[in-house]
Amino acid sequence: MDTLVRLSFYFFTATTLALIGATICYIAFGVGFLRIARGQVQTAGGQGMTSSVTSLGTGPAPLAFGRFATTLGWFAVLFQGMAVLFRFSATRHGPTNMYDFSLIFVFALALIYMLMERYYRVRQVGAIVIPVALLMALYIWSLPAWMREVNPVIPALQSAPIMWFHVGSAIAAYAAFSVAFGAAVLYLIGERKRFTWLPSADLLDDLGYRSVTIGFPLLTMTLILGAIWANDAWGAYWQWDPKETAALFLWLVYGVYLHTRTLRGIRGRGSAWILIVGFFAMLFVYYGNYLFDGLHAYGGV
Amino acid sequence: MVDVPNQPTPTTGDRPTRARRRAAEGPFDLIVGSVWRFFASVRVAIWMIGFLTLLTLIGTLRGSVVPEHIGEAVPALQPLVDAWYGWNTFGSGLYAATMAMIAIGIIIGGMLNRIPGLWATIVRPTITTTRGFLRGTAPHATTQADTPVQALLADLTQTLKRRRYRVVTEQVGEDVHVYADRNRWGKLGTFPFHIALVMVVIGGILVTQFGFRDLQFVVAEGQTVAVGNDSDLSVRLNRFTDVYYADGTPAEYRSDVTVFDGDDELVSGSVQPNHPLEAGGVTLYQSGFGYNVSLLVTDRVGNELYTGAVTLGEYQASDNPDAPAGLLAVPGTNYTLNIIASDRDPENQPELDTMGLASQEIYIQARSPDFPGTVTPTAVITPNQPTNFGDLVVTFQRYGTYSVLQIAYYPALWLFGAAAVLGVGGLIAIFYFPHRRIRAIVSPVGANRSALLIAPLARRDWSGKRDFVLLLEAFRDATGTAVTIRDEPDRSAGPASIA
Ligand code: HEM
Repeated sequence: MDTLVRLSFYFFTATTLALIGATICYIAFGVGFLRIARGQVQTAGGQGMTSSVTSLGTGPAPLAFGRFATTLGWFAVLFQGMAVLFRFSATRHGPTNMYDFSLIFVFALALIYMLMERYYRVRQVGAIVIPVALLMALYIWSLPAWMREVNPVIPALQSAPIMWFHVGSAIAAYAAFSVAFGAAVLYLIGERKRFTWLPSADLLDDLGYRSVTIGFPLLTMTLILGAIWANDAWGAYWQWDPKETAALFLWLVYGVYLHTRTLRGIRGRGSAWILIVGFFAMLFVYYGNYLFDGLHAYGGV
Repeated sequence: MVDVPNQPTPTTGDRPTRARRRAAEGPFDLIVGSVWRFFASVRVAIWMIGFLTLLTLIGTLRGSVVPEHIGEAVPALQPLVDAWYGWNTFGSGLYAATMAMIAIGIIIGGMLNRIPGLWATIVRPTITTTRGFLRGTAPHATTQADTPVQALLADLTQTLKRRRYRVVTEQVGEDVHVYADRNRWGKLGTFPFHIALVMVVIGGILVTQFGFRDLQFVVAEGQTVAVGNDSDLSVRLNRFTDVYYADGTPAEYRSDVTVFDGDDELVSGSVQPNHPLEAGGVTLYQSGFGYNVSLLVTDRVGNELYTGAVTLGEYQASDNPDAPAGLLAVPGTNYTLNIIASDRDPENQPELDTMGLASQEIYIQARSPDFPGTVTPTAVITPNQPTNFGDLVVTFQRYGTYSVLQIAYYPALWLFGAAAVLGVGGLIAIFYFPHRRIRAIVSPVGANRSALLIAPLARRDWSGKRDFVLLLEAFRDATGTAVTIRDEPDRSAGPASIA
């Protein structure tokens, strides 16, 4: 194996460790919050609690977990950024198999999540999203080692820049939808039971929406670039190939989501459910290579 | 729409009631009205898009092993699974009809029906508001300053303008009502986006009706072939090049071609995988290649019957399945020539090669109803050696290469290009330039003091509320006045009422 490829792999190993640590910390943080929140209910009678809980301040042990979680999260972003960088300096072409795709996925997911955490100043969503990133990293570990090797690509995949953006925007969109999923899960938990450690419903709704406002345009770009690339490679912009229609399906799911938000009555719980359906639809599209036969059925799976 | 519940609408006495309007309508108006309301409804839109989503999923799964697994798991469903695999979802009338319904919905509900409301929001917003409404909003903020109304208003306006808000005011008695908004044009982003969707549907109809795609356009080196499909175009292959990696996998194929419109030369260029060539509205793609032989066929007295290339590789010779073979029906005769070329890759399965042709030889067999049975003339011939086959004289001139291109004509491609730009631009406007609105009342408190009551129109809009809080923090920092922000509606003021 070439040095760069090996370096990339070491960085990915570091990411995995950081994600394991971050997962533990985010969950400890959430669970710890539960306790603090209960304690406060007993002592302070709930007054002013929400504001003290939602800020990312310093404080007792669970809050220290929170700070660790955030630090480890950023480490994961950094390490995975290096892993991706070295990987593609070595291959000199765009991502072509599930190993490549998933490396980018983990990076995009960690990055988008950490940015959201910064913007909204809440950590609780990390208890859902960071474990998803970890699962994705573990999936990468389950892939056969030969996928890490660098091979020349088949001619249909050689249109490098378009291919980069096509695949890159798809994966970034999937990552954004995963963050929306985390927000939706917490939203629905909050609907059932008003845990005081949860961020406000409006915040979670907004976080989910904002994630989709990243994911939906990216998925739109994916479809457009995919059509251009398909035309260059196969002489047709759109052939109703399963992988194409799968992406269209996903795009329509989020189209439905966007409209539900303008309707009272569906907005909120209904929208959150669609985000959850959308997440599983995304996994179906992402792992679709295992199920489809068609033009996209290369990529080493 | 979104802003309706945010603002009390003053009821005026002379508005026709729905019942009275109904009575004034004829049956035609009634039908048009119901159809309009149907398509204008976002709820209906959601159902229609949801249905299209479901169909798309069904069609997608057809291309997967999922139905098969369902059939294995629940054998009773096997007939359904067979029907599923048998149903060309994306070519079905149902799919097309759903898309058409959505296109109509987009035009009516996504665009036309929204124009009046949007116009009002953007161009003629209501400026006046009520204290009750502002106090009933979460969050809302209050402050008092030791300055007259106009000074406080000026400070507020400055802060708002710095944050790119447009500010409009209206004097109501001693109070000044303020309406401020920014990114009001961002609201219009849904128009280019929805228009783009309609353009894609229209473009799709045009392509399926008027476009064509020829997957097997075969042209030999030196040959010119007409494109057909009602076009005057023709293509000449000047040269075909293929380059291989050491392990035998192809590294590059390239066809150098010239495209003619009638007799006019339009373009000369090369076609490679991923690098199509556009000329005269059609697009040429590299698809494959093969070998051919150039033959001259005459009769015994020398009249030319055929001259040109015969492609090989479309048939397999039973004598050597490994070697490329071809057929030529000689024009004007009832002869067919079976042609077998030398094995291009003699290393591969040498046991199949029972002919043992040398690399510059071809084998020809002439078939004709005139030669029944076994007397078929056959010969192995070398280049430029005229050889007799019954009534024919065949001269093998040389080996050559042909290229297989795809030729596609997509009308109205610009529609898709424009739709892509409009769609992405629209999304950016909608998502990244959200319309933010703020209402306020500035009122005098005694002689030289004034009070500000201010609230955003940001129901269930966390980001809008956050922007509001940031704005007030900026206001506080700029003016040094303390601002009280309340996260809850102020119920002590009583229910929201028209003051
Ligand atoms: C039956 C057809 C449709 C109708 C009647 C319709 C109607 C609407 C309406 C009224 C809005 C405006 C909401 C507002 O301004 O607050 C809207 C927004 C939107 N629509 Fe549609 N639409 C249709 C089809 C579609 C389709 C097929 C898509 C793509 C999947 C789509 C994507 C969007 C997007 C992205 C927005 C912006 C959402 C936002 O503001 O966050 N629409 N639509």
